[in-house]
Amino acid sequence: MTDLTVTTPMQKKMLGRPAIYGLLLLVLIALPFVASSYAVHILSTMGIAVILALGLNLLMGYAGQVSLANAAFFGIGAYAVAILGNRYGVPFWLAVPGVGVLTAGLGFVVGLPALRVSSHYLALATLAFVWTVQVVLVDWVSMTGGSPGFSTSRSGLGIAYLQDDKRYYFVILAVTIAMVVLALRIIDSKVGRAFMAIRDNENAAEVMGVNLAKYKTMAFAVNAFYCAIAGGLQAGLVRFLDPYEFGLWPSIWHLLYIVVGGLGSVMGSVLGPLVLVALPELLRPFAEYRELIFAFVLLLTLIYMPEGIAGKLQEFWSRKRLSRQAAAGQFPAMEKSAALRNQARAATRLQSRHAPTAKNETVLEVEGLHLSFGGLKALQGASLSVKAGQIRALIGPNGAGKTSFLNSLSRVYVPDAGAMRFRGKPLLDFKSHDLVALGLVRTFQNIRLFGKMSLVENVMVGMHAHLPQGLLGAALRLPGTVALARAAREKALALLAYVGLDQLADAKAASLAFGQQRRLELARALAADPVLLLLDEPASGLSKHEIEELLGILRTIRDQLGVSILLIEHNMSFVMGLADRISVLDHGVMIAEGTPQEIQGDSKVIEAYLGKERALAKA
Amino acid sequence: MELIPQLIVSGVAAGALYALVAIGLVLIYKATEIVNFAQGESVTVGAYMGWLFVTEFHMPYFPAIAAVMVASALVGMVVERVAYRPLIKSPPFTVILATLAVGLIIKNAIRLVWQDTPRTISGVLSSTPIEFGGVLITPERLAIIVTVAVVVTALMLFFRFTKLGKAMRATAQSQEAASLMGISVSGIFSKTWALGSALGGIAGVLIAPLIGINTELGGVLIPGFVAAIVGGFTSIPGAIVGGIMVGVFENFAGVFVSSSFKRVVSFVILIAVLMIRPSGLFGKPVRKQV
Repeated sequence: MTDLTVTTPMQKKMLGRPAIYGLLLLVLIALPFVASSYAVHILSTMGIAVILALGLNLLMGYAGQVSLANAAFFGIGAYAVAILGNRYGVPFWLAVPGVGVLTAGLGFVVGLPALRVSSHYLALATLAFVWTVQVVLVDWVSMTGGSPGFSTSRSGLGIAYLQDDKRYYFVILAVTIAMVVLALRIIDSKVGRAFMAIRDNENAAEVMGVNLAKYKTMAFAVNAFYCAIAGGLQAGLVRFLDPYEFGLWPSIWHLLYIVVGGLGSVMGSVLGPLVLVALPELLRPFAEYRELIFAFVLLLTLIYMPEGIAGKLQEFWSRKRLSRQAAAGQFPAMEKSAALRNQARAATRLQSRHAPTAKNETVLEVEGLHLSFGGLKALQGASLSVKAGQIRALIGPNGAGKTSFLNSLSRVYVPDAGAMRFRGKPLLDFKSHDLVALGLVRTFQNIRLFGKMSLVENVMVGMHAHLPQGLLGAALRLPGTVALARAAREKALALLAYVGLDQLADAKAASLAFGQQRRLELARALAADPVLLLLDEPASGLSKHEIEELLGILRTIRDQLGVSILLIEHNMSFVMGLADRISVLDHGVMIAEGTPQEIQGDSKVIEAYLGKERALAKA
Repeated sequence: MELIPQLIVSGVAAGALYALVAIGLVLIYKATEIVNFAQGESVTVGAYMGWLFVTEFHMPYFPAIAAVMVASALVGMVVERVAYRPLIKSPPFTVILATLAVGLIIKNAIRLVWQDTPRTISGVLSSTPIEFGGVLITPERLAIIVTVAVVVTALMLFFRFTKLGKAMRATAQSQEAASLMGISVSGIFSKTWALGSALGGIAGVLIAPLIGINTELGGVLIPGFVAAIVGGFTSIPGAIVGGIMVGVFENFAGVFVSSSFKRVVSFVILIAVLMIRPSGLFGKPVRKQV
């Protein structure tokens, strides 16, 4: 049985040991009874910092979106809960989740610029938001108390029974643990994989069916939710809210939690705050140097420990594991038994959700495609069709317009004129990320994998369009979604077996050799359940042996899975050995169409490749 | 009432300073695709150096500006060496954070050396306004506008006619091609960061007589950044227009809306530009690469 909560080898190690967690929990519960009230306060602060770091890591470490707005959401959460409680008598237990959800909505709005701009601008746009919120907190004196701050008390919030700091600490502990579990669940879900896919390669994510707009803004909303919950808890922890604790520098300080702890790691979101909340307390005698020390820590971490504490630990652990395995002679064998591979084929064949293609059905029909870039006419009326169960190759000299053709099909470029129909549906009615759901899936010439994700996660991103689970499903983890997630994982493993990579299922995609990366990309494309596969130079960069292997895999995809293929390729022996039909593109128009034999003898094709004189000489 | 032309003139003076900061950001961005968040600190350094040269060492004001340029250029080279070069292969955001960190280090070092006592460069230029066609302008503000105009002209000539300027332009276009043509790309990076920061330094020494000197002067980074974005982030004339726009808008907002609105007006402009025309007024829309 596979453990679905696994995301990294280190987490697998930790999650595999409930005893450690039990012990840790006991220590955390026992601590306030032995620690001083000052220490309890620090522990509570750490809990709040962990929640902030989790929210920030989900947005930046996992979804790869830059934001400096976290302190603003933190401040909004804190002030809103404090004002609602102390002024209007709204109970704490209602205010915290309510404010959390409303702030999530605000986070969605703040995330909107992320759809149009990338990191530098986004850093500034979110900085603008922090600045504006702070101006409001300082200048709206009648509501917020202005720059002297806002006094709050637990009795004012309606939780006088938590007046004892130890009791309040338990509240923070419980919420922090819940937020850690929630983060782990989000990460190990369709949503989390979509986040990471966007982080690792936005284009590929979109082509695999991830709606960028939806998931980017969702990441911002999740971040705002975490920050606001942390803020709500802060409103109960302190006696007094200072507007200057919710400005730009606190925002950057929170960033440091995850940079030092480890970007893209839940473990790091916990470790970073522990270190960084403790550090200033230890450095209290040197308060004047606090900012200076903080800046040095940041700089040195960025240069010497870019993966943070969690990254270093993970490296250490995996090295230990490898040497242990080497000692025991347990290196995974690369070869797969024929039986297992057949089983895998059976598994993959079962899945298709699309209406089966009829014999002789025209799957793809393109007519008169025109596309120009300024003065350059890339396509001038190119037409082509692919029948069910057919492998069609599109060839042509460099600059003939092949890639433009493919990019028009996958809705990256918008053609100036022409019609593209996929199983009768006009492709122009669909967005790039909708194509997967239709059954049109592509790969890239320069392979686009999600480098920091494991192989199995890469393949699971391919199933994105077919998995129903959303954010709520991930959070609640109902039995139905668990079963679906398990099935998806099994299918992903089967597909990895199909391309001979199952032994490496938990390795990071970036660690693969080039030929393996091509096969992984193919497995990911197959996971998307294609009716038609668009392959962009699948053989380029492969060795002779690897090309042989690829030929075999592509033929079985056609023969056993019934998937049609349209491919662009320069390797002629590969094309001639594989394709059922070939179309030849030159200067943006199709100059020939036919079987490999017909194309090899076509004088126009020879002319296009070799020039007129050579063509005549050959004739 | 001459209020409106008056607001425009003092807005142009402030905007000229934003433009200098913006041009510094744009130069560095074009060469290295990194936004230097320590640019604000080169303004602070410029102001403190100006104070040091003029008030402590009794140098005349305008030669002091040249000395300040050298000092701020050194800051830029240090930032490049410490925050950019070791991280040249890291994702942009890592480098942004690193420049932020170096900026913080510089700011705190200044704070620790000179403490937090505010300083100023005073008595250099008269603050008695001169009248031009009914509009009053102080010599301090006039000096800003004139100096910025001279600096920008010199910069344009530098890029057009000098070998180094051409090498910088070539590197901004294509690092690979430039290095094949025998240009030392890392040398150009270092010089570009120096030049960008020197412009920030000039802004610092010019702003000092007007608003005094403290370690928070680096906050001018924000309107400078907005100015650069308004101008498309790759164009020097764009940065100038952007700077002046931000300066003038701020002045109008301060008078006609409220002083707290003045503090966020650059963000309002920023959000508007990001929403309506993210490539800026002078930038070209970028076609998605596949």
